[in-house]
Amino acid sequence: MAFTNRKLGLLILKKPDSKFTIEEQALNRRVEIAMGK
Amino acid sequence: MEYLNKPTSISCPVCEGQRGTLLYEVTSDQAANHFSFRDGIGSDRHSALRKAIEGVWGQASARAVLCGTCEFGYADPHVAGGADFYKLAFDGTGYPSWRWEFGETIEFLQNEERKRPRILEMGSGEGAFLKAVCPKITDADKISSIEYSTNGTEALEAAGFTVYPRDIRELDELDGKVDYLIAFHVVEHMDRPFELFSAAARKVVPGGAMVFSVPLQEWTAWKEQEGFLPDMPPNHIARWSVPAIARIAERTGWVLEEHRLDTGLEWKTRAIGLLKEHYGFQAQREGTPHHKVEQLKPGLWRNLGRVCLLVPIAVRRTPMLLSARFRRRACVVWAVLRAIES
Repeated sequence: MAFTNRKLGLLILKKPDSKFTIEEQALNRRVEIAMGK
Repeated sequence: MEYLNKPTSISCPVCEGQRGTLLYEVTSDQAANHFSFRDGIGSDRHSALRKAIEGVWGQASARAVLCGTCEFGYADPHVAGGADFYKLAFDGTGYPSWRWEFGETIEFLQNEERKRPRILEMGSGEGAFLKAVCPKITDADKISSIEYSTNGTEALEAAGFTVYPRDIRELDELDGKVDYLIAFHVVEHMDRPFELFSAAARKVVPGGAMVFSVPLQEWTAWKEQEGFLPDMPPNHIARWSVPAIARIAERTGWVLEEHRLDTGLEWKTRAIGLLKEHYGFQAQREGTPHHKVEQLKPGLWRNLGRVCLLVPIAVRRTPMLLSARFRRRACVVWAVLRAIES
């Protein structure tokens, strides 16, 4: 699944965790929980 | 009305999650007072509103809950306010002439490969957004709108757009599919999100998109817990978080491609609005000086009373409203859902 956010540079499953800010990582995790992952 | 923040069992309409948080409970009397506090409890308008709200809920109270899985907040019973409620609660005037989201959407449409696209907007008001994209991005005969208000319909038809006074879930008259479906501050008023987003997906060509904006769930929760006006059902009955948008998209034939937050935008206007909300919340409570001032006839004494009561609120709230933390708070989320190409 391609889930992107150009403004925050969020790219779930397409970018290594280390490239995200803490805020972006937290949002990614929240989305993953909502998706049941 | 007290903020409870208590664990509760739910059946989330977005993700079917079972565990959630009870935010608050509200009676039809309290909800009616929220929309008619100037008329006073016991007034004809208050009684009519209470009756209309009980008609919507099918009972005398409702609760606001938050899903622990996808963070979707909603009113339970999750039923949208009908025509009777809106007619009594609002006077139907005052559509914004511009929103931050209009600019984001125009930029998005300009960067798309589809040129002169077919556009359908839900809840166009008097057509401020559609007039901004026509003829710059597309032509009037490629634009249609879902709008119920008489003022709005007249303005839209005068601009040459086709208007359907119909819920998108029951819209059979639309000829074929559109390239883009637009909805600014509409989705939070609507119930049955699964049916809503599924119906929206059926109206858009594969590879097209739904572009919409809603108040951010986190903003509403923060505002309510800080003592500003509650986001009272059955006006707004849904509080959308980014995870909830991603989940409903996945379940209904879309992919959440992009979202933007209005972080830091127009924070001064927002701060002034919140001071007025704080005043408004006080004015809803019988016996408060704010309530008494609001019972005065419009004119000098009421205005003077408002100023006198707003000053202490401003003194108390201004440090928080000037803080960097407040300025960084986002209030609205703008999102693009792409229709999956099979």
